[in-house]
Amino acid sequence: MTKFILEAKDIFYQYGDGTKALNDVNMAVEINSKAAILGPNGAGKSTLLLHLNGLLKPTSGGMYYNGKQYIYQKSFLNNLKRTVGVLFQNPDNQLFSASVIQDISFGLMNIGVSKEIALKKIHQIGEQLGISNLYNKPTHFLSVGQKKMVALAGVLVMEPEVIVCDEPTAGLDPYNAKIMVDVLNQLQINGTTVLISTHDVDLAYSWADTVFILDSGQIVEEGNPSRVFSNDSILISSHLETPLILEIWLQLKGCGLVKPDSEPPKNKEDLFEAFVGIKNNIN
Amino acid sequence: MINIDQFAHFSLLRNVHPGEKFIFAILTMSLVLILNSIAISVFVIIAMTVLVVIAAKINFKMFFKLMLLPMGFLLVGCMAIAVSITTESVNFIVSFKVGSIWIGVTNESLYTFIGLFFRALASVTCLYFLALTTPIIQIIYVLRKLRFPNIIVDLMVLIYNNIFVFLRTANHIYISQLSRCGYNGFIGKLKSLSCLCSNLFLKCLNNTDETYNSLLSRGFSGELRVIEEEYKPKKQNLAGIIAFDSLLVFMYIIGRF
Repeated sequence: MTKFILEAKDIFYQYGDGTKALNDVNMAVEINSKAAILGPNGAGKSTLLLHLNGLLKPTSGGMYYNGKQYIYQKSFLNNLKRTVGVLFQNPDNQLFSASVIQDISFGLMNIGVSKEIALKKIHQIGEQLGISNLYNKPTHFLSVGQKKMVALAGVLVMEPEVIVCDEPTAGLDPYNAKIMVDVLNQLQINGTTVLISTHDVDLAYSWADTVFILDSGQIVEEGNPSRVFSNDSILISSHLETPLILEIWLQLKGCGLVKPDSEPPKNKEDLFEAFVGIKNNIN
Repeated sequence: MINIDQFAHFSLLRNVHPGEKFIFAILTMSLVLILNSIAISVFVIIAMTVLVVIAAKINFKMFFKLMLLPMGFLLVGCMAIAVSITTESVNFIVSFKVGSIWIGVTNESLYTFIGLFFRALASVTCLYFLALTTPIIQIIYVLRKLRFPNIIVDLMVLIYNNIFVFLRTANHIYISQLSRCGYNGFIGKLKSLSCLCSNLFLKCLNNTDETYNSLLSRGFSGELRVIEEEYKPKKQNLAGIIAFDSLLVFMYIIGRF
């Protein structure tokens, strides 16, 4: 049986000014999976993410961690914040200290880790993310990509079981975006559940195991990326597009060049392999 | 913008214990203020300049430019003390008469002026020494060790870091206004500037929201608890500070007799 680490059941959320941000959200994230939430601007993605680590309390409905319902009390929430780490979109807003080490140490100090162990963990995470060389620089000297890595280190150093990233690759150049994706992949291999929110359909398609489409405060579609992204009506109503790789493959299928029941390629390499297959068939 | 903090980060004295730098600057400044002697003030100005330029390897031209700023203020401010206005001619060095009023410089007023100018300038060099060798993070470290109220120190941390975000945001808005013909004519300048200010304010509020959320996500509970870097005090440095400041006192005593 599949085990869900995070579940949202019938979540409604209304802001103080009456805006209904979430309108009956139901979603379940499988343990140790790679999940992506997609949706147009203003669909409620950021609001939903803030529910995941208990920063926002739903107006009605329940959030569950490992099958246990969230209790909005200090001890439960403190524990939850350690186990569900959130990386925010703008690293400038996440980094509060001018010192890289101090910023990364913040979460650890809050959960009462001793200084020696904290320093050890900080240096470990620095090695892992390749940012040890930034430790002596003030944060405002760093590039956006470096800041994002430091912000991620500040979350990962608490060793969360789930990491939630709001637009992890936004604003990054292709090189740094690839590093970020590699880091997220490595985390998943090491047992962490990774959930991202993104506008990048190509990233979501080739990276995620499961995608959720959020529109007007509701999950309108979820599941295997190749199935979800083949649903044109949902993509149109949610202002999304078909991922390029899938679109090419669908065209090939339309022309009868690939077997109709074969699995669509996940990434460029798989697609190129399909080309070779087609060429061999023609010869 | 001249970013003094940037110099502090690249200065050679960066890794010296911040407490030592702090004590040295503040103690020397206090002595300059208490002892009130032109010779000592000039001595401190020279000594601090040598320390900043040679020991901390701050570019002399840069340091001189930085010094010009307070010098200008001091000259104008102290001028009022040098010049005295009387109804009758006293022992003026230089003077002229306007109607029945004498305006001029007397021996004493000139002496007070020079004394005050150098004393203030010497204090400024002491503070420059601190600012140019000690990044803000280290000053915050010293304040924490001195048991400054947490709330003030935490605010300093947040404000300091946000200055850079603030300036960058302001710059982005300014450029985007310019590229859409903002700041055209006097009225246009006022309008664009007011837009920039109000937008910056709203953006700041938004950013604060996200900062607060991200702090909460990492378990913030009203206090910014972080690892403080440890610095090792050096006996030579402490001895140097004591020697230097004793020398000042010694100079003062010699001068008295």
